[in-house]
Amino acid sequence: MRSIFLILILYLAVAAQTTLADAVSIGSIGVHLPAMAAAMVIIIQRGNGALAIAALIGLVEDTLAPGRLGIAMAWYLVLGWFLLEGCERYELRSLGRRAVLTGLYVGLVTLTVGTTRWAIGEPTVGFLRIVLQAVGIGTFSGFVAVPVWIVLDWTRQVLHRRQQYDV
Amino acid sequence: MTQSNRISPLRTHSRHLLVGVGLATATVLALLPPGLADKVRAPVTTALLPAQRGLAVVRCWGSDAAEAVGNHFTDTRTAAQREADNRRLAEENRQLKAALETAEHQLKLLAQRDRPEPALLAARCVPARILGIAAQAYLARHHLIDAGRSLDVEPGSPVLQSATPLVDCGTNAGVESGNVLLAGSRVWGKIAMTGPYTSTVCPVTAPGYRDLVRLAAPSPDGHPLRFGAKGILEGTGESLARLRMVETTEPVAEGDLVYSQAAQGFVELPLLCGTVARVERPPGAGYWEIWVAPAVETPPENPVILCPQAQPAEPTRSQDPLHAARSE
Repeated sequence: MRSIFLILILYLAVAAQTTLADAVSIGSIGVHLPAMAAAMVIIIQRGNGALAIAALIGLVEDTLAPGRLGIAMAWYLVLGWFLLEGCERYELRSLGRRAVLTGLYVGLVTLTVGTTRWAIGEPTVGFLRIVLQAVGIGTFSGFVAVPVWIVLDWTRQVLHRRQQYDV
Repeated sequence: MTQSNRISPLRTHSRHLLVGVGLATATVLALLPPGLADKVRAPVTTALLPAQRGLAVVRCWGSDAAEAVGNHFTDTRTAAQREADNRRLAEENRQLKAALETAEHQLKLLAQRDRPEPALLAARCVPARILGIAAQAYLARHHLIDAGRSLDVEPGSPVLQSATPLVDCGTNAGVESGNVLLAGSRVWGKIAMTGPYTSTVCPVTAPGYRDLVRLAAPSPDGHPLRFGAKGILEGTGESLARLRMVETTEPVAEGDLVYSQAAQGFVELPLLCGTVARVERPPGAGYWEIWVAPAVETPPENPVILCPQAQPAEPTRSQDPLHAARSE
């Protein structure tokens, strides 16, 4: 049940990136929903399965963009690995830390994927603009992640209480 | 801050294996030829279509709801104004429906006749000459200008020359603002303003130029052009015009041809506006950023103004503006 719910959320996140992202953007800075979903899956699930899901989201993002496949998949995986190692070593109960980590992951994914595409000569904007947009997208996604984390925490608390009640 | 639980070596080992396998897969995918990559893309794009359509509907509902909430909080004066507008538009709608029904009936009657129908519109070609600085100065000295006291013009006010190109055809020759100027079969610009004898030109790269255009991949082997996405071409005042509203899912490459749709319906052949000079895709953006080099960079010697006109008879070959322009 949990896996189906997770797949549904990820499916909607990827679809929303192509239809709703410009509706919640400020100028050319928008929220990067697939990367945000990948960060949240890694922080919540904390396992090798979460890492595989992050790589899968990267692959789906690759298929939505023109150009070579596998670039986003590789960076989602590598950055997800670092995020996972950090999550397993440090305490992340604080909402602020989780939001900062989510924004950082999104910003780094945007920066690395954009830089790689720029370096191999695919049609993209200049390097300086990639860096500035990565900072903007990461910061914006970090702020958007705060209410999302609050809703997720609230849902998890409700589910936990229901389980205790059943027991 | 540090967690007390330790990570098992087996789990770490399997994680390294997973990352290695994932990176190897990504490398293989990156090396796929474009044909195979498209085969990987197709099922994902198809699978996302239902959700994209659903979310588009949700977005529409959201916009409608936001508009309804906004309308709810508007004052009564605005509401009354909108009510009046609504009634006026309803009346116009009713009249248009009636006109449409009449037109459809006429179309049915025309379709019943067993003979080929002539084209509704044909292109009329007006040869023009560009007026230089001396010619403009002469006109300013010897002709009246269409500005007076109503526009706060005082006696002795200096007449400044406009930097925009001027041609020697105006409304007396049937020229209207928005008409396309051609150099051969290439678009130089549009008529911006018309006077009785002269008209100002807005070239493709000038600010204020807007045109519906369509991209096409060049075919050096002589095959017919493959037309692609449509977009809006805008002059920027720089040497390159900007092409907007082309989604990043559409294929675009440097060197692609850009054709105007301005003469659609009365000119059969496509009119070249320019070629794609630079293509950029900002991270996370839904639209390409495309810069277009104009097909006509310097003002042509003998431009031709393309004017649509009602033409009951089939246009002959000599009336085809492209044929006339080529014969020149």
